Amino acid sequence: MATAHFGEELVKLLPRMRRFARGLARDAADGDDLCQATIERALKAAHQWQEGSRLDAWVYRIMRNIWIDEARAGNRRRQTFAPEEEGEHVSSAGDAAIEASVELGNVDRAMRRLPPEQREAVMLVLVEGLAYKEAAEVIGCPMGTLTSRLVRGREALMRELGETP
Amino acid sequence: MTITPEEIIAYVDGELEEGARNRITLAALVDIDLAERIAAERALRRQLQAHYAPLAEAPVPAAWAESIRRATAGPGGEVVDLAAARVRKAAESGRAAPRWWHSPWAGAAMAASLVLGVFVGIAWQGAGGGGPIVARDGALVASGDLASALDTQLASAQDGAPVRILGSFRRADNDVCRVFSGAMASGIACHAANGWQLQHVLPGSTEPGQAYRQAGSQDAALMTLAQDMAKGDPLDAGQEREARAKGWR
Repeated sequence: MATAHFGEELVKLLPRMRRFARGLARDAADGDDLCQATIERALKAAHQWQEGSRLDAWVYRIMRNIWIDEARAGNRRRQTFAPEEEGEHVSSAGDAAIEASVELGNVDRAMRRLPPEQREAVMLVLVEGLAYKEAAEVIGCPMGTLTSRLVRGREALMRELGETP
Repeated sequence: MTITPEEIIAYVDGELEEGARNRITLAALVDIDLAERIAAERALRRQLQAHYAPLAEAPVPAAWAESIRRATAGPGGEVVDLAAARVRKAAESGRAAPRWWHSPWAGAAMAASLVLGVFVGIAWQGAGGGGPIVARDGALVASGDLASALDTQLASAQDGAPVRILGSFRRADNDVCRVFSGAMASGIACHAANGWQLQHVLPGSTEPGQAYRQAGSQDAALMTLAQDMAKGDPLDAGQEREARAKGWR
């Protein structure tokens, strides 16, 4: 079962978990939902965590897996249940609301435009400071895949941020 | 020499072995396009970190911590766990820079935000030449005016010096390292048996022909690098003087 010290380590990680979730999700509320779902799953899976290994990488892996699953499920739902234009309408109205948000800076906008696989690579390495090897393990991809995603993601960010200083 | 985008980001992210890192540092000294690409990658990294840093400082919903503590408390409530202290210690020695780090370095970077460019008189010949940086025993080592600035100047007293020392610190192996900023090159050098070994080199604070420019962003980049390398706080004026008196050992 989950021990008290596991719990305390997890509590200490909460601010960084929340930041990673915000980076992945489309807005603050989605980010907090993702964070909460991650906490629940981490508590259930606590016995699988190897003491002495990095808890942050372990938790990030849980989080990005939930996020990927939900993104896929979301796409399926839209394709199955909503006529295509309606789906587009919903999505563009959502995007417009996000763009209009005062809190949303250039960096947020540029990050949201990245394909998800580039966004998670950028978040893990540039924001959370994981080594390439650790980030590749979190994502479950080869190192070469990670670095090429990083290169493409950074090029796109530089283009976007260069245009809107 | 061809340097791929993958190598550039690995260089900036600190993922390269020493040999590969030196190769790129050398190449950047003579290739202004490469130096600028490196600077742009560093600037992006810094911009993202600055943007997301406040999020990890913000308080999280109290209910989250409560639900975790409820789920992980033993049947008797408080659980005494001998392994906890060890694990906590390991987590604390992790990568995240403690908050108290920010103020001393931020102050140093700010103080040096306007760097007078009077370093232009030095002949810059890149590696192997008689410039401020030479290759020696497979490492890049400071020479000439840069070496003497690193040897003698204190960060607290250097009005009008051609190279400014932005700060000094000790890294994990206890070597003294110094952050410098000059017109032709800026960087971080650490004291070793064969002189001041260059750990990072960025383009200088002044373009040829310009008197000065705002060097704040470059200096901030160096401060971030220094912070990653350092063990503890930067040296204060007294500690720096003491280190100089002991030959930077």
